[in-house]
Amino acid sequence: MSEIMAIASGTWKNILRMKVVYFLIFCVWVLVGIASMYEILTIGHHKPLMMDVSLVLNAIAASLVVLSVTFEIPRELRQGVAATLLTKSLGRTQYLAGKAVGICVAGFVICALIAAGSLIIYALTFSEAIAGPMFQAHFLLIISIIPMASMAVFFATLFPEVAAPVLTIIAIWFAYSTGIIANIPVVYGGLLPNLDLFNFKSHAVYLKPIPILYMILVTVWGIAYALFLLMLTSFFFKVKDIK
Amino acid sequence: MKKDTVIRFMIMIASLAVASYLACILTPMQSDISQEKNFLTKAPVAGLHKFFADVAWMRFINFAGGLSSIDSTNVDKVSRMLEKIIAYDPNFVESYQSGVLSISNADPKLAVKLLEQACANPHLAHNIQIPFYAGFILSRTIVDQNNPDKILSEPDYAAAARFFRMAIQRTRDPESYLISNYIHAKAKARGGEESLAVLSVLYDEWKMSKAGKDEIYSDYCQIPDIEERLVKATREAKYPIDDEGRLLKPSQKALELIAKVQQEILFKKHLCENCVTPAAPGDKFCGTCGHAVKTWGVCSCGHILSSKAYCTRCGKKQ
Amino acid sequence: MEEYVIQTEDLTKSYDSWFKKASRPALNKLNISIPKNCIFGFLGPNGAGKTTTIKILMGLIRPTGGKAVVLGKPYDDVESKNRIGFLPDSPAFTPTLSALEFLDVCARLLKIPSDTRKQRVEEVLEIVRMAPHAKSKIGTFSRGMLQRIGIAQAILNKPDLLILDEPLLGLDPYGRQEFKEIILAQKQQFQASVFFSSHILSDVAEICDNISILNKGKLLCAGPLDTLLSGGGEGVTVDISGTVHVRELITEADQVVKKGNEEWELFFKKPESALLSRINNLSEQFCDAVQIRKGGEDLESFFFKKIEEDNARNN
Repeated sequence: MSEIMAIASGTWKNILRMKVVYFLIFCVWVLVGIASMYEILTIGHHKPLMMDVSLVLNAIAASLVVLSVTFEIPRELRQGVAATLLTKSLGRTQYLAGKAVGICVAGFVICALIAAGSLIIYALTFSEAIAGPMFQAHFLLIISIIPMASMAVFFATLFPEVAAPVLTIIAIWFAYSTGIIANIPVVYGGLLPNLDLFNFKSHAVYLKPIPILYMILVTVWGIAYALFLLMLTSFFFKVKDIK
Repeated sequence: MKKDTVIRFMIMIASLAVASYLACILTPMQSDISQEKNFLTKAPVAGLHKFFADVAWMRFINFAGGLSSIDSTNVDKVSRMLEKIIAYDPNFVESYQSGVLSISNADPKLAVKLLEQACANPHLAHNIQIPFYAGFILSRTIVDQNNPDKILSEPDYAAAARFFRMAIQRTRDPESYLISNYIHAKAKARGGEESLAVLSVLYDEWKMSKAGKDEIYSDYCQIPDIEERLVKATREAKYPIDDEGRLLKPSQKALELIAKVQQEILFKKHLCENCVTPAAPGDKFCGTCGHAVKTWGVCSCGHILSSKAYCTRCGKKQ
Repeated sequence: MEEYVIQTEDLTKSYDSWFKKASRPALNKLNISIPKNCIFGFLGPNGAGKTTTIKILMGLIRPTGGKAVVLGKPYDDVESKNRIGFLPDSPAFTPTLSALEFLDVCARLLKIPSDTRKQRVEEVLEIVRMAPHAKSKIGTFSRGMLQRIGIAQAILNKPDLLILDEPLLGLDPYGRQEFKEIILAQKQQFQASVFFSSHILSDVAEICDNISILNKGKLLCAGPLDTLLSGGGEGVTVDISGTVHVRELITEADQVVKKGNEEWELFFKKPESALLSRINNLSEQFCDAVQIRKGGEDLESFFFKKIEEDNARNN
């Protein structure tokens, strides 16, 4: 466990030290605040617009954080950083798990900052208390980073530096869209990810509460699916030559 | 096979089984929580439906705001924009209340279709404006603004009445205008003389309100002030007026119905039998038509006495 | 305790792709045994298979055939890595972490207890003379500084076995000298075995007890350095500067080579004890002018001879 946390700490420090991350968070806050100026253009629909914009931008930020590992793992493999680490008493599965955990922690921090800032801006702009469904929608979005991180680690391990980010983004788009396209739970949700299970943006906008049981179950699903994908990735990674 | 490989394989299978099982539970659970997903477009927009609806709404406002009016020359484009918004967000109330209404003069059929779709949306189950707008459009004759000879839609009072009834059923305390529109639409659907039709509608509604538990009417809706409406309708049926304001003679059918209503419902009210105007306690004659009226007194306790033998408040014999 | 720290048996690696078989294997049935507590030099020209061998021993790549045992355990055993220190040929570390942070990550991976971790990290930074740069980001380091950090992370856990791939690359002469002292200290203080590959033959000759030479994936020779250079027999080579001392020994030498203006190399195949004693006295008296080397050739000549013989055989 300590090995996994050692790799994870290196990963999240790597991401959270990038100044561009905080610049992007600030830009998101500004964009959320700007939504309040759309009162006339939306005929009074600017409040739900602000909430929706904050959720959409948070979702994009989560995807970008997850995408960073698709650059990091191939680069570490290419440059030899991974070789240095893997020659310690660190199993390859532990390395992958550490990377996934590191990305999750970095994503949680960044998305939590975005969510907190957005909700504060909302409260200050409209002098309203934040409703429970708004927190719930942001929470689910943050939790969706867990299966997304495992997807990113999967593609980053199996594919080269150029292809991995592209394939990851396509996979995330696909995973978010399957809930609408097809309704075969064992396939979409079992073998293939169904990120639409975390998508409750309209609930935040229309202030419809999400049952706590659902939130707990979907979190467990995210962890189970991430574990499945990480183990599958480890089978491929174990036989890969690290040159 | 190495021990480590076996363990990883078992973890993989176990987590896959858990994920599949949970997915089988979560998918229907999510459908129950977010019932609008059944109405959402199948376009793969990666869960950004609401955002796309917002953008489409702003584009619609921008476009429609630049038009002097929405008519047959531009209604197709406006309609497409509205349909897009609704496809992305079926719960978007403003798109129905402002958007759909704005096209009702140019394409009333589509407007009613979209409003009907909205009426089926469980999220909008408590919205009374949407069914009201549908009934309102259906109860008018709409002509092409550019060509007044071309009728775009004829009134369909039966359908209009159905929507007005839906609106009334969605609230515990329906507004007066809702009830009036419902009754008049239903009356027009029945056809014939309007005042008789109104009275017959109100009478049927009253009968339904008194129905036992084993007689359930799907088209029943509670009209709170039905007896007051019956009083007014009886009066209007007894003294019908034509379009030019001339007093007409009531038909035999009307008189029969009026008698029935007076016998079954209005007897307990202190009304003039002739002109169905309410009388005050102590009156011996009607102030409107001079006809004799049954005198209702006032008990020493202050309660108005009807024709009964005892005061219904203090029990004093009269 | 194991007698050999590394043993390979018919170790083979072939980089065949889906479409094309490799023209020759990168490693072809390599059989080496590295004894405990020795400094072993692993030599060969570019493309000989040295790095491939080292990566197999570290579990980074899988062999196509054969076996490799490191510290008594299979090459891919994870736990035994706690006793091994490894320095890759082009060390690369997470650029956004500081030296201290990176070494802390390595220390955690090596399961160094938390109460001694910080102290040990500072200790190794002192040893490799990188303490002033402890808090600087690794991304700002020069090649030589990276090499020093690489050595630091390799000796962090006081390993029983040090495996180093081109460790002297990128180091200036002072750095190379310090590094050689570190290697010798690891052997003497911690009884560590050292297995390293290098192209700098003079350094190898200076510190190695045993060597092996690889060419095109095949082992050409392996064994104690002295034995190999003397051709299997006993012999003494004397390097002399200045004609004064040459006159005393030249008539008794079996082989005389003039290397420079006043530089001579005298080879005595089987010197008698009296002669050996005279040579030793001269060396002690005039240590700058007279230097004794055991064995028949210098390592460089031996190396080139072996490679050329092998290439000629294959052609």
